[in-house]
Amino acid sequence: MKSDELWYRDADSWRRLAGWMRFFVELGRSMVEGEEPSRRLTVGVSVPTRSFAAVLAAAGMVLARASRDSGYADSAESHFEYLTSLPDGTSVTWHTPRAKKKVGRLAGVAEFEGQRVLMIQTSMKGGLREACHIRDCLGVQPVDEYIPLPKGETVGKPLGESVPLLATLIPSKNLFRFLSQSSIDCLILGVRRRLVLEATVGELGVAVTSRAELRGTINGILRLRDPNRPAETFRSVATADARDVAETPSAVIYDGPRPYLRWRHKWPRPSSLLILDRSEPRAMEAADVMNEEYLTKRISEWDSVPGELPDGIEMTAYVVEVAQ
Amino acid sequence: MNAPNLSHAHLLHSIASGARIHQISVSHPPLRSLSRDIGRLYSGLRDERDDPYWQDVLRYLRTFMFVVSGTPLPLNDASLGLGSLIDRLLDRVVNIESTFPDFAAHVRAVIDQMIAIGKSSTDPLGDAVRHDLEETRDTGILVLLRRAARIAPVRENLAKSLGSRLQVSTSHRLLSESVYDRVVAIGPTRWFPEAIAAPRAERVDLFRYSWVRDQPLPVALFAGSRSKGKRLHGPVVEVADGYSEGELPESFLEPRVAWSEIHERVLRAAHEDDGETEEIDARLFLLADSSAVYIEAEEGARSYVLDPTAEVDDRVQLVPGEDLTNGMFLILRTEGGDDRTALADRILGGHAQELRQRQRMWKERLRNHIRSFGPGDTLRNLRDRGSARASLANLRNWAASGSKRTRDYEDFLAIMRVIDVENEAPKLWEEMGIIVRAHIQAGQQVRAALIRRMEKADLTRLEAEGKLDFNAPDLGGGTLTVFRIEDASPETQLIPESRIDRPFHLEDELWQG
Repeated sequence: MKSDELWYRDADSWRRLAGWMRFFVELGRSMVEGEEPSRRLTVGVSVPTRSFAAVLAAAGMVLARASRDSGYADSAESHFEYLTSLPDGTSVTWHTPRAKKKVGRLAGVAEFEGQRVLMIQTSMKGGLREACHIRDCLGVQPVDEYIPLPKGETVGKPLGESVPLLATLIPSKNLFRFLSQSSIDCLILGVRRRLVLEATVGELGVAVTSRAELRGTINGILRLRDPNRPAETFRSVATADARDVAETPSAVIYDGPRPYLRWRHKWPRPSSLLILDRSEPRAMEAADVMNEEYLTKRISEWDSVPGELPDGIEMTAYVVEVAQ
Repeated sequence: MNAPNLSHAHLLHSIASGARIHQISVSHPPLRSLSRDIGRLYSGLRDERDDPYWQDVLRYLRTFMFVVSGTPLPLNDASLGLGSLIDRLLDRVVNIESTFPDFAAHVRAVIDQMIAIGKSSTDPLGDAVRHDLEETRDTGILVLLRRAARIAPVRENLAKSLGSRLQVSTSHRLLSESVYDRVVAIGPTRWFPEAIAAPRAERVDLFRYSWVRDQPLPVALFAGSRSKGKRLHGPVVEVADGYSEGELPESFLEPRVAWSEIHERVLRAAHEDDGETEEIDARLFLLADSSAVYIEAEEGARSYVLDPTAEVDDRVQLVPGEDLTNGMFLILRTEGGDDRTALADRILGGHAQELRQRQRMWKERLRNHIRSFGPGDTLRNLRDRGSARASLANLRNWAASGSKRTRDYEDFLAIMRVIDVENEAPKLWEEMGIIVRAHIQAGQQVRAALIRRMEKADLTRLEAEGKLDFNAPDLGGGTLTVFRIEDASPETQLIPESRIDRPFHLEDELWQG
């Protein structure tokens, strides 16, 4: 799936992504594809407005990572062992093979037709337990807090309105893993309220016709972590405070000079993207800091973004060696 | 900032790609003559320029040229303040015939020209702007000034003939992402890098005097960067009539702030409360109305900030001192009323006096110990008695009158041991906890009251002018003022606590853009 097949909603009509929008999606995708061990890819971009730049680049990163093949069977086996090591009663979310979302509690391991299956209690009614095979167990994620179970039997909730759109953007063999597992494919450091708003109002679509199911929001791709909904899986995080994030993200986007000046040392290994709006008072200060690294630490330039730069966008990109 | 919208973001990108930026040169022979004579004086001084005396004199001359170059108002308009500036310069050069006889006549001649210009009712920049705009049908015009201090008189002056179709503001306005038919900036290009690098109109006109040397710079930010065409990496400004042969160096009109001079003047100024208060670490912020304020920079210190773009309930936030930065709106009490401490005391009611006395008791004992043994030995003593967090920064914070107790009881107990009141430690910890809770409650009340006030405030005016006063009847009366932060000092300084959060006026010569 290429970004030039994506459309965006402009009031009541749909338009193909503009050059700058495609640029950010492709930049995010290229940064994931350009990753190398012991190397940090660093990109600085200056724009006339930061609006939507970070979320579009993040969408490119998330899609690129979701398209990678990551040894599904092995990881399912080890995840099954991990789940069986947790105490019975541990709250979990469960994205079932029927593309439904349920909550439950771990209820031990059983044998079914000669194979071990994970038992999950999904209802208070008679302690209803359901079986989950090893191949599907990546959809089971423990949750740190107590979640009440439904009183009656439940078929679960649909996985989300963006799923049909995602199905056109992500290889089908990876889609279930994408929906059911949490990870921080991209951390966006910036004003969370603004970023969430951009991700939720920005509507994208593929080969748009009257079929509404091929439409979704940028957040349908990003699946930003919602602190108020700990049972939801996520693929990216937006926050102003890097201390909110205990895990190491796969890539970091600094949306504006402030987060870069404050947090740039926290994750030295992941690829990083700094986005500066040239109308911001501290843009030059942040650029000066990046320029110093460019002049003193870069081991090579990086020039793998396909296509020419759109008007009004400036980009520098280089590689820095980092200790593993 | 407008609500995010992909279509609007696309519009901003399109405007930035196609904007035409013109520079328009304005003639005014008396000012040209003055600039030539100041340029000659500047060249003739050579090494003497580093002498503090001449630094002072040049600062006044520079300020004069800076103010007239950036303000489309009649030159004798009182809000330019040229008369009082010249008076201060005259005070400075009162003995120049005896101290620097070689330069005296030249300086006197320069000052005579300044006096004549300061009495002139001509308005060269205003006339040029009016001439440029009167025939256009543009309805959304943004006039940008380098400084916010004279926005109101400039708007009044230009609106007489141009009406309400124009807004006057500073470059901060560009962050709102509004789009205009035309942007007009008053001054050389280096005063408005944002307006050139991120245009918000398809046409941007920059007005400068013909004697101002101004070589527009490329707007690219990054080393090793690339872009399409020459828009970001080449000259982007179209100059109608070439550059002048001005004799003032380009650096003469560069924006600058005399941080150390401001600090020295503040410390020199007498203040009745200073003797009774301790010094705390503070950062100096320049505010949109030509005033400045010291804000506490100690760990844990926080200030009220207004975010005009946020939802009503989130508009007022407490922000750590280290996070305050240009463009933020700081809320300060500027007249009467209760501060947070007074409100907390009201919450404490009849216990306030006794609890505050207990708070002062352990603070004074700790400060006496520091005075007697020095900070180094005090730290050692604290660590020996179980403090895990004893550090110079924490010690200063613990001894500050604003702090109530340490974060961890072990540190508090160590302090009590050092100041010989170990047996009172549990009781004092509880008492200080009562004060902490009263402060939290007071903070919530202040925030709620501020939010109520901000619901009805004219935030458009605040965003344009950078300052807004409002009464606070539910906060003990008086006036609170929201100021936009225009700049922040690079270093922190030790400042008497009584000066913290109190805005003071800055003379023009201390803050040139």
